[in-house]
Formats: sequence, structure tokens, C-alpha cells
Amino acid sequence: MKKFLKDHGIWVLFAAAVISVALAAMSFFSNTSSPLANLAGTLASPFRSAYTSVASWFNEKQAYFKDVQALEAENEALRKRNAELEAAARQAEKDSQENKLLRERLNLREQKYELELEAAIITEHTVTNWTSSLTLDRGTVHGVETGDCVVSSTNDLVGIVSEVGTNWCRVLTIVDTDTSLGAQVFRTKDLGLAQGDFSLMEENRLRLDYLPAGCQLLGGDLVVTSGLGGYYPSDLVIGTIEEVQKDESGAASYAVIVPAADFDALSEVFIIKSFDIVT
Amino acid sequence: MLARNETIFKWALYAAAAALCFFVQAFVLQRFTVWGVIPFLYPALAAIPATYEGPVPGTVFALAVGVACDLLLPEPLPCFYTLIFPLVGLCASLIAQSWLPAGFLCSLAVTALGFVLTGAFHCFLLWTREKAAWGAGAFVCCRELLVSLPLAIPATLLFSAVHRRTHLDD
Repeated sequence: MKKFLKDHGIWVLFAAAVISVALAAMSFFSNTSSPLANLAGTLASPFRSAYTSVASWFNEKQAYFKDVQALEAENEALRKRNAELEAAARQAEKDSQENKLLRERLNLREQKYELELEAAIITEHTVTNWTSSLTLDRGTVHGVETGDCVVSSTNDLVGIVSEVGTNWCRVLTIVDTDTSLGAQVFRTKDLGLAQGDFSLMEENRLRLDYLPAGCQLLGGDLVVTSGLGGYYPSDLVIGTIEEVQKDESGAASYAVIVPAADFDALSEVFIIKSFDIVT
Repeated sequence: MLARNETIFKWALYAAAAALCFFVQAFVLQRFTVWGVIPFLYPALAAIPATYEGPVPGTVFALAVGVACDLLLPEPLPCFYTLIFPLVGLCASLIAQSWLPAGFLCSLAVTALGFVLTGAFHCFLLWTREKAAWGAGAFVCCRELLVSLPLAIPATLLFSAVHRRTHLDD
């Protein structure tokens, strides 16, 4: 071994360095994952799916025997909420008809909002303590691309696809430090940049930066995607504002956002493969 | 000196032991959290084998572990572990050669060093992207170290068994 390394050690190190740099370059410039990463992910994908299936089965069995009283209380609360939502839906129906009538009178085109969704199962939740990610069982063969948005079943934004393999993809959640997207406060229409912050990531929170001076935000204000630039669809729910704070310099303020999606509780999500918004 | 086929056998055993640890990490350890962090075995895999082998083989093995980690884990830099783990392996082997002979104590020390270097590199990358979080990073690193350090003991048992099995004549 010593002789081998003495004779060829420098070449082994050189080859390893070249491979590493090539991998890094391929990952950086490629829209999908590098070939080796894709291979590793493709091989691991069936194992992840199998493990997730077994774990889900046990969780379902465990959940089946949960406290009945808690379920009854939850059911009662949901009935009340359902009644409120039905009233809101009736009002929305009236508003929609009125809106349609006014559009016709003003000769405005109808606003269309079409999303092409792909259902996906989460096969792996966060794998390191320094990132917040999810691995899904959908990849390039299903038409998934880097930069696609991922939403929950209630249309809350979960994250952005960061890496795609043949039959898998990796999603960085909205609280990850590498995620940033245009956001808008629903009530005030103030624009900002929602981005992950490592200090807040562990508490499942993110920041809303670059807020306009003098904006009047309140706790509980809804924050949605702005859709500016056309990279992501507009009006996807990011979360609600928890508090407004001054940054380190004290000159600007930022808001702390509580995501609407509960990443730990998710098992199925939807990838927005394409979207079409016509106004 | 080992014959070529013995050398191949030795590194195949090391690779198999590392693969077993990867399997345990992927299917057991990263499915739960302790004190809010996932137990993380990979820095120990880069450090411990290097204490039993010399600096060059230890560094090359740590590099291979780093490449495997980069293929499987999401990181801000595509070659994050490929860059930091060889340094961990080199430091670990130098410590084993100069200060602490390979064993449990040495494994604990080099694993702790591995976590500190990896955590510091994470914080450095956050700082370069103007998202500095030295305090939060140090807190995560400390908890990760405390939660993962006990795992260095079974890892040491595994890699010392491989070392004994492949160095019968030493």
C-alpha cells in the first residue's frame, strides 16, 4: 500500500480532485442533478419509499387508537369552522356573480388561474441539521423541473424543487436558508422578499425582508406569493405574520412569518409543474 | 506490507463498514430528533478510519466519504463534504499519530473535531452569503455534537474490528 501510494498517491489525489471539481461544476450548471447524484438518488428511492410505507402504516395504526375525546373536541371545532366557511362561501358566490357582472359591464377579460399539478409522496423529511428539505417520489420522468413550486393539499406553499433525478426530487422548504421568493402582504398589498434565515429555521419560521418604509403590518396578516417576475404563481399562501422586528442595523424592519404548511405533518404534496395566469 | 489483494480486501471491508453506517443513518438515525437535532454519523465516518490508517489513506477514504455524502445530502455547496471531510481525515490521522493512539478516546476527540470543522464551514458559508448566524450555528453544532458523540463508540468498535481483521500480521 505504501509503495502504491508512494508511486501513485499523488495521481489518486489528483483524480479525486478532478472528479470532485467535475461533480461540482456539473451540479452547478445542470438543471437536473449530476449523473452520480441522480444514480445515488435513483438507487436509494425505492428503499426510501419502502421505509416510508412501513413507517406510515405504523403511524396510521398508532393514530387509529388516539384519544377519542380529543377527536370529538376537534370534530366539534371543525363543525363550527365548517359553518363559518359555508357562510363565507355563500358570500363569495354572491361576490363572484357581482364581479362577473361588473367585468361584463366594463368589458374586462376574465382572470384565469390554471395550475398543472403532480401529486407526490414525501419519502424523506429533513436529512441534516443545516437544511430544511423534503425528498419526493417524483422526478424528470414525471415532468418535474428545478424551480417548480410545491404546495400542500390546502394550497399552502411548502417549498421549491432544488434538485431533480429520474424518479425523485429534492425540495427546499420555504424556511431553508437557500429559499427566497417574492411575497405580498394580502391586506396591505405591501411587497417584500420572503427568505429563510438560519436563526429562525429551527423554529420553522422565515423572514419577510425589504418591506417599504412605514408599512403597517399586524400580527396574523396573511402573506402570499407576489408572482412578480413570473417565476412562481401568485397568491400561494406562504403563512401569517407573527411579529415585526428591527434588523441588526436598526434602520430597516422585517417581519417573522409562520408558514401555513406544517412540514413535519405532511405526507403528500403537489408539485406545480406549470401555471397559467391570464388577467 | 500488504499484498495487493489484501489491500483491496481491506478497503472493501472499510467501504462495507461505511455503507452499513450510511444505511443506519439513512433509515434509523435521521428519522428522529434529540434536543431538536438529528443524530449525524457522517463526520465520525470521515474521522475514525483515518485514525487507524496513515494520513494519506485516511485522507483519501475521508474524501470518498465526502463524495458519497455530497451525492446523498442537500447542501448549499455541491462539494461541501468533499471539501471538508479530507481535512477532517487528515487532522484525525495526524492526531492519532502524534498525540492520542487510535482507540475510543482518540475517536471521541477526532469526531468532536470533525463536527467542529464541519459546523464552522457551515457557518462560514452562511457568512459568505450574508446570512451570518454564528450563534445559532454554534448552538446547533454543540447539540449535534452531544447527540452524535455516543455514536462514535459503536463506529470505533466497527472500524477497529475491520482494522484488526485486515492487519493480522502487525
